[in-house]
Amino acid sequence: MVADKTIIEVDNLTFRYDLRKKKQILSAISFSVKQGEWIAVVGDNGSGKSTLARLLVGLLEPENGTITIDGIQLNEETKWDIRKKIGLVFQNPENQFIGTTVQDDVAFGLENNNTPYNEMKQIVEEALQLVEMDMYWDQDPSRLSGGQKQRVAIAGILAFKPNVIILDEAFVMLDPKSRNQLLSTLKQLREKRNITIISVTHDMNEAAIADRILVMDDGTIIQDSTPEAVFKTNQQLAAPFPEQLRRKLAESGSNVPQTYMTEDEMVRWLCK
Amino acid sequence: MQVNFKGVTADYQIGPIRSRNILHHVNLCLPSKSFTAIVGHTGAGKSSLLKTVNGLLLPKEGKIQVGDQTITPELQSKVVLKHVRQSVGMVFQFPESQLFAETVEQDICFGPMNFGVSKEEAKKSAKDAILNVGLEEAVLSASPFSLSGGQQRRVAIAGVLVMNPDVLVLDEPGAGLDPQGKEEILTLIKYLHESKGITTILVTHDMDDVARYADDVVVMEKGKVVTYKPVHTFFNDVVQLHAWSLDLPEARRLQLRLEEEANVKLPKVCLTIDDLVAALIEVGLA
Repeated sequence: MVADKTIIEVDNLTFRYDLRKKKQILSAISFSVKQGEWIAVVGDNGSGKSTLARLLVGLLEPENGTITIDGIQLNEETKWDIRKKIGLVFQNPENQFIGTTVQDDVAFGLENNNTPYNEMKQIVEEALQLVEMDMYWDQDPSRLSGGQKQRVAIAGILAFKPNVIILDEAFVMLDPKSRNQLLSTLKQLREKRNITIISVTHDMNEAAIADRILVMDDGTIIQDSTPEAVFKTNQQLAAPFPEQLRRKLAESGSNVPQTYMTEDEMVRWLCK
Repeated sequence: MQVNFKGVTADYQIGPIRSRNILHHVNLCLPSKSFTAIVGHTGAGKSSLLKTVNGLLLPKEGKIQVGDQTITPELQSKVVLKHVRQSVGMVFQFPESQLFAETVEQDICFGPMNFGVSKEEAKKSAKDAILNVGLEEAVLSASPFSLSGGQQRRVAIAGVLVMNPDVLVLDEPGAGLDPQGKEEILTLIKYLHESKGITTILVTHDMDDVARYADDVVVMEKGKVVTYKPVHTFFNDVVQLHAWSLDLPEARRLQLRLEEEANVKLPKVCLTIDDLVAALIEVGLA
């Protein structure tokens, strides 16, 4: 499923909010993402995750280094074209509402792209169905609940059909059922349209389903590998529940295996 | 301080525009010094229920009693609302978006000074509040906007705590924080609840938080309260939880999976990882 084509190439990226201060929010980070990959970005608050997300869509300008999306280097001139390929869902959906009704809001990006009305109508309906907000199409987004707002914000990006979707903790206000449904919707979309997903998250169960995890700490990427390798070697990171259980059992003197375990492995071991 | 909802119905009608009812005949009595978690699907009315507790949303029918103050539909008295708002501390979703002042100290002092506390006294309480939420005193002179998200959240919570509320109402206070930051905030809330006897109402989607911190659970569905139970009883009834499409705490979920696949029965309902470790060792599975 993961093609060999590189979709995102970040090279030596450095960023400071305040040039008078020495502290770099991101210091010389480099990584690349292949088309169709699912990447989780984890790390403490203040480690630079959201800043990275904003840099990737050109909302912030790097001090140094380059970002290349689908072969085009991101700069003032190219950022409008690049934003057709990459969509960002913010952590707080309030930050991105403009429409007076749910359907207007989802249609906003399409209108800007001169999508024909009939086509647009259909796309908006589909996007709202994907997030199960179609019955709220005529409501004022500001009067929705937190989780509903978050779903509308996600629909706005899905309608745009970008190659890359960046989710900056876009699921935090969702109830577990909606969260799982949206995750499986995204998985299907990835299979159907081969989209690339970058999800900034604190939920380690969510991170564990990614192809790769980037662990950020104080503006640098300290680890870039599979969930298994990350949770095996990184003891600082809050591990997924089965791994936490394994560590606790080991502490209590049980003879559990000494290496990282997924839930299935843990259940099999306990059932042996 | 007790919070008592009696037949509360509410909507967000403004002028001629009618919206659907957000709350339908909510009857609920939360005793003094209780710690209650409110859970439910998005749009079930959780946040709206919280807003009625301090009169940000007035009921269309019914009444809400907070201590000896009563909020009713025809409430005109600013005095009642003032008293209610003085005793109910409210932490909204993403509370950091309500920070506004030039320094953290000014931001925290804003509330008490509005209620007539002197500047010196407000500053003194601000210092206590900032230490209480686990930040350093030096932060007081910084701009709130130079802080990280997690620190801003703490400052916003300090701004509520400085009012010495009897009731603390929190709408997903852990959303968007890293696991450690979230645990710290919730542990802090639990500590304040226990040491000061604050009646605490917490809206959350995280069943592990419900299991770890709350005593009782309220489930809301389509604007109604459909259950109100102690945590342990609540997580026992798996069939009902499934019907409400609610999750289980991780430990309980894994326990049920194990019990089915290994065909064993653990001695008790495990809500936390420590419960589960102890039970697994007790029955000799690990």
